[in-house]
Amino acid sequence: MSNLPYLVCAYIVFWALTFALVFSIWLRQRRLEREIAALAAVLAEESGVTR
Amino acid sequence: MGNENVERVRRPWQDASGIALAALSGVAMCGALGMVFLYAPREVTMGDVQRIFYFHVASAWVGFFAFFVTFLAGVGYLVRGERSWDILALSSVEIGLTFITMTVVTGSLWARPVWGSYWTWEPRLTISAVQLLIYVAYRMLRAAIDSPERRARFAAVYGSVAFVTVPLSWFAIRWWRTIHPDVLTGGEGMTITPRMSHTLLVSLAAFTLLYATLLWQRVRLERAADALAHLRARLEVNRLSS
Repeated sequence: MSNLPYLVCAYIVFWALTFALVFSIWLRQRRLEREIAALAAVLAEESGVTR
Repeated sequence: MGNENVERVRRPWQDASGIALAALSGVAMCGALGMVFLYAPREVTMGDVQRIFYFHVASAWVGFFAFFVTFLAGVGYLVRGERSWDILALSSVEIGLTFITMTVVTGSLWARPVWGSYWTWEPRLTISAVQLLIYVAYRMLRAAIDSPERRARFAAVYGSVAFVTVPLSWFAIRWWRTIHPDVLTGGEGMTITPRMSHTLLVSLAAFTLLYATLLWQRVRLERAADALAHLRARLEVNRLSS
């Protein structure tokens, strides 16, 4: 019985979904880090001005 | 959340424990993959396509476990009312959804050559489809509620009730007439040899580690979102007071 294409597809699906989840977490994390850094800089600057 | 926490969430991927966990799960996944293709024997009736079994069962296990964690976190939130329980529940649902999707898709790819059809509305598959939709709805409904407290309370109740689909799915192949094999409890459908059992156990362990790694990073992502909201609120207060 030659069912190799189904086996290959199943493992491709598994790895594709795993990497999609990892990549999506990484991408969101990077965006948040950038926003946090920018806001922290603004906050520090404004705190300095008000003092 | 103070400045220290804001600093801490800036480098989640460089966090030593996170990296160690990721490395460990990477090694375990490679080991499991090696065993699936090099150690486990070729099944006599189904041939090589049966090798889908190891990752199919392991992803179902992670999906069920993730929803169980969501259930526990939901109860934790209802009892303690702390944001950390809500973060845990939300993070676990996202991972559970990914792994249950894997289970359904890999199951369909296995079913086609063995049953002659990608999909059949038998009890286990039907419950899996309904379960997937219920947890997709969890995410959608969360997004529709603006108040953080109401959203967390609603999600805690919903996540706890939705968990009923897990035992229902587990027992479906025992309670009703079905063509889905019952391998784990020694039922009919497929005979597994000791080498197959070892491979399955290693796959289950590897997937559990992968779940822990993903959960760790997903929780840190949510904490970073909280830190950002905190900074925005502080900036607002600063601007109003100056």
